[in-house]
Amino acid sequence: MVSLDSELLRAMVDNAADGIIAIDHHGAVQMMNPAAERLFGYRTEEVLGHNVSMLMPEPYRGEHDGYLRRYLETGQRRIIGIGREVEGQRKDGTTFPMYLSVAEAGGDDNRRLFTGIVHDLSARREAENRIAQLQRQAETILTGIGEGILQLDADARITFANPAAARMLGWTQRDLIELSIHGIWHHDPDVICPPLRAITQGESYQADDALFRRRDGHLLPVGFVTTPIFDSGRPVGAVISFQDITERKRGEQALRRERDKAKSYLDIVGTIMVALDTDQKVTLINRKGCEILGYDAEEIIGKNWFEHFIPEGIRDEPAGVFAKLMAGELAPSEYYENTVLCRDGRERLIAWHNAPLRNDAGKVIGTLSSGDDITERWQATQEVQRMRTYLKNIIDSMPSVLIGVDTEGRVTEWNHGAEQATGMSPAEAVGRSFEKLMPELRAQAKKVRRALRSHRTVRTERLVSEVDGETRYSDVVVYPLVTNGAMGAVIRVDDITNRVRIEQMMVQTEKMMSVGGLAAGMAHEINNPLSAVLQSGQNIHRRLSQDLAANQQVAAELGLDLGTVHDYLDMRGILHFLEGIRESASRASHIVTDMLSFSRRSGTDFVPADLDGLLDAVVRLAGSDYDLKKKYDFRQVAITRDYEPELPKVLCDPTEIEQVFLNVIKNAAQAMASTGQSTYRLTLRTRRQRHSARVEIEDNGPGMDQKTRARVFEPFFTTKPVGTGTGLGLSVSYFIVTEQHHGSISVRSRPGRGSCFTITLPIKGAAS
Amino acid sequence: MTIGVLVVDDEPLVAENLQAFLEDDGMLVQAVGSAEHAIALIQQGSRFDVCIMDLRLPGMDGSTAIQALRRLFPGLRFIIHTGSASFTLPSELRALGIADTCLLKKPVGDMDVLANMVRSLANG
Repeated sequence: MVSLDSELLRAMVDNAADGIIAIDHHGAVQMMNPAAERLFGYRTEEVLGHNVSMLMPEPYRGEHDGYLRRYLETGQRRIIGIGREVEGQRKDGTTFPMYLSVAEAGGDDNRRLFTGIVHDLSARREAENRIAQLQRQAETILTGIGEGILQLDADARITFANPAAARMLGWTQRDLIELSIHGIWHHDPDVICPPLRAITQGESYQADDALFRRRDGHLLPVGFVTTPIFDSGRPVGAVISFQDITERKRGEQALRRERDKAKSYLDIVGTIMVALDTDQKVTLINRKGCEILGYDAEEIIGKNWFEHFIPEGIRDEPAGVFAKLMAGELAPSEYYENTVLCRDGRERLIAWHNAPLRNDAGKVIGTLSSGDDITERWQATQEVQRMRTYLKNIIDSMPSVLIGVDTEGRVTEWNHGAEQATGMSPAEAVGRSFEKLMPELRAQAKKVRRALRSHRTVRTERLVSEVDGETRYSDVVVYPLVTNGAMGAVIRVDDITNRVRIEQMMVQTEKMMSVGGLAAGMAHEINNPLSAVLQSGQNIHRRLSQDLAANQQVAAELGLDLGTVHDYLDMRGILHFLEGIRESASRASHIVTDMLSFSRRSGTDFVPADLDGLLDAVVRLAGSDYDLKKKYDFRQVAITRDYEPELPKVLCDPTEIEQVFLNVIKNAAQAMASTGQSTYRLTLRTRRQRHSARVEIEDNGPGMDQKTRARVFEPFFTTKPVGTGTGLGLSVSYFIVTEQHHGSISVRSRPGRGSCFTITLPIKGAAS
Repeated sequence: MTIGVLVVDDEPLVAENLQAFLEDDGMLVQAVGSAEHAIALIQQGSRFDVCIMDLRLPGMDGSTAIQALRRLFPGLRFIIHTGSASFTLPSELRALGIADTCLLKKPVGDMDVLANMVRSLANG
């Protein structure tokens, strides 16, 4: 027996965490420690001597005395030496759970003592209640939630199934217990069973597309999560939570169908559809877009649109549009054109409509653009424009006057020729009546109507009109026009005045040539009588003079005074008439000579000649020319020679060319003389051209107006007084230069500015 | 010394005019209307300094006549006086020493030119 020091015992009792109470066999409290005081809320003095049952609630209070009496009488124990859970009651009446251990603590036969050790179970009970509550909550959750929950043991057998799981799988909760998960989960044989993996390897697994087999054999699409259950860090089972995704699948299918439908709409539309994200990357492109660019969609999606599909040089502009669109600065209705770069390197022109793409929050997350391929349209437009310009150029480059008119005779087209002829621009002319614009065409109105009515071309040749006092000739053609149902006509007017002049000149030239041919044959016959006339005149004149001895002798024999005879002849004008005979005959002789020029053949007397020498010879000849001498002294003319130093000799007929030079120089001298001007200047210039020599004879005479200039080479055209010129000089020159020498002769002249005749001759002669 | 001139021209008025002018200039002139006549004169012994010869003549033409006359009388000088515009001296006449300067084309408006030519030939 261990005897304890009473002080030590006392300290232990006072400091014990549990309450200690001692009672006697009557149940009266003998002792109470501080912990018991705290537990029950009584001070010891309040309890000492009182029945311990005061510390118990009913039914314990009522039963306590009986219980103690029975133990004392029979020794039957219910609690003593055993301990049990009972209720305690505090001073304030509240109760609390406690564990009570009771032991008989000795004493004597008169007085037996019992000790009770009271352990407060309040905290434990509270925890237990909490657990129970949690359990109930968990059960409620597991029962109430829509998701199926299955718990598996280490052998993948179901140890728990919630009602939702049972309902979805078509089993009762009870029937599911002990079933293997393999009987339910229908999985690909290649896949390691994920719940098993969870069980054996402790891994979680999630799937959205599993199929669970229902009791009736139907398959149920599910999404599930398996989570391993660990015990002491070792996986010992798993929980599967799953949900029926039939509806979701159906929804997804509907969504997919919608999307496919939308995609097919996108694919069948004739426009390009491109969506870009905020990084300018393509997120969507339809079939048309792929076709045009020449790539598969996969090759385009994800690429930077501007870097890959917009030609480098023009990238900035569409990229700028994109930036504005992203910034919300552009109305979606705005329209842009730019080219795209295709796989084969070609570029196509696209007309774009752009719109920003927004997410649910309204934030711009990209752009959607639809584009029409307008390359062909653009090319066609370009082609039309090009064609229009081309036609306009053609129409304008034609020297003809071309006037388009509608059925009312209002101008619809007015070409450059018309502008030049009238001095009126197309802008001024279009819409006005052509008859008013060109009065000389008034007579054409009827013809326009006729052309329109008959659908036939109506021509008027050599329409004569008077312009600035000069006769002009034109050919007028009216073409009926039917374009796209719009009726109208085109009036073409060609000024053929020059052609008519040339034709007339040709006719004259031909006439001259035949005259020349005749003259050659008749020259002898004409020249003999001319000789007789001229020489008779000279003899008559001479034999009337008093100077000749023979005359005086005959007169003396006849008793005639020659002086009186001369006076008579003079007074009666006979000497004058005689001079007239001589002059007339002399002129006739010149005409014959000129006419004979037309009969000369080219090239017969061609020799290399020095043109400078010929010019100098002509100047000398002109100085002694009888006709010129009569008018003025040719030596007064200041002659400037500007000869090309290395001018080669020209193969020509020198006599003929001399005649040309003489004609031109005489003409110049006569023209200068006619003005009575103080200084006469003649410039003689020779120049080498590639294959020809050019001679210029320039005077400072009165010059010519346009009308004279145009006709100056015409045969028998002369500005000189009747009887002065033959009108053949320049035409003979023209004939010699152009016909015989295959050269050219032209004149540059303006009234008051002198004239310059230019003669070019091929260096190698007419043969070259 | 008086210059003797033979004019051969079938146009009597032309021949007469030349004769009249040259005679007025103091020359001794005989005019005939054909080459044959001229040849006959020379053959008969007539002598002239200068012959003014028309080319187109009835019968023998002037060119042939010049050659015949030169053979008969080598001292005779010639002036060709023709109305043909296209005439150029044939080589056989050039061979006889007849130059382009001796070619006068009708109409000769101023017979002084002719007279001077005759004198020049006669004295040269």
